[in-house]
Amino acid sequence: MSDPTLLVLASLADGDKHGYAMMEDIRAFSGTQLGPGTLYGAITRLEELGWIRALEASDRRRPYRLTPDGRRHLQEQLESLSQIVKTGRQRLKHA
Amino acid sequence: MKLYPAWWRARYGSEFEALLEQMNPDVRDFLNIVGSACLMRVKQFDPTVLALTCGLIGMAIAAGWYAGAQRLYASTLTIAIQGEQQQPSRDPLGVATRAFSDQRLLALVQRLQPYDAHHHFSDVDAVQRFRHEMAVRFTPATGPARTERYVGAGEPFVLQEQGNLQLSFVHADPRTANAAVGMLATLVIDENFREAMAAGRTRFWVAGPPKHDRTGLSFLLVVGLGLGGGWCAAIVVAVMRRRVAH
Repeated sequence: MSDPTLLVLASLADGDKHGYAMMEDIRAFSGTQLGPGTLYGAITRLEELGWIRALEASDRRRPYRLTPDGRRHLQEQLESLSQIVKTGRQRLKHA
Repeated sequence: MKLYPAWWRARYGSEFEALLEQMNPDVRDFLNIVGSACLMRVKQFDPTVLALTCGLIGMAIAAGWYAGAQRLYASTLTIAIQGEQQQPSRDPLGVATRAFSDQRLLALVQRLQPYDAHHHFSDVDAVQRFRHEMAVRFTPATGPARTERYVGAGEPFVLQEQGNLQLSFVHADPRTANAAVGMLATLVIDENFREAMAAGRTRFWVAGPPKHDRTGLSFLLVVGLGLGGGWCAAIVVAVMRRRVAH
């Protein structure tokens, strides 16, 4: 899974968001400024994979919600990442 | 937005436009959108159609390049040398230097006028270019199967052996190429054989009239390279498509 999709899943983990809100949230929690094309590329892929789903649009802005599959996948990815972070930290300590 | 495929615009177009209105995109965002739209288009290609399309485009580009490229013709003339085996020249450098001296080649260039006037070549440049476009290849009757010697400034070739001396010249006009190669043969004969002929030691003759062929890559090879290039492009697109899919 590429980074933008992980960022979108992480952004939706605490509640439904539309595109602009996701972009702002991602910038706030990761410091990464996703381009609009990248963001919607990730949304398209995640929707196709069934990891997020679109909700009813209001004023052309459509919010998205994490699906149970998406939540499970995010959890797996985060566990894998935290294992990498833990190992990296331990090795740095002993270096 | 129009860069995106229709299915994508139908599904995401409205909300994507709303996002762009809200964020005031800059040049970087514009490039990001163009890149993303290309990836979305790649995503929908069928691999077979992709390979066929890229291959055809590659072949068409190659064929177009071939049609537009300057046609060059190589005229070739062979002098067969027979007679007593003679001692190698004591001055092999002198043979080439005299037969194809700058003065003689310049006289030949002035007679043939092989280069367009608008090139404004100096005498030295014209002779240099003429040297570059001519070639001498000698195949001895005995010894190594084939020896090639190209005449550059000061490179010798030894005519004392028996065998075939092949002279060639490349030019855009086949008639000029034929004329040049005939004149080169005259220079070689005048310089190297006159004396030997007079002594009856060496016989030589022009084994065939000058004949010309188009040089460079063949049409089939060019089109084949185009097809290969097209398929390489198809592989790149397929890899991009795989990245989009995952």
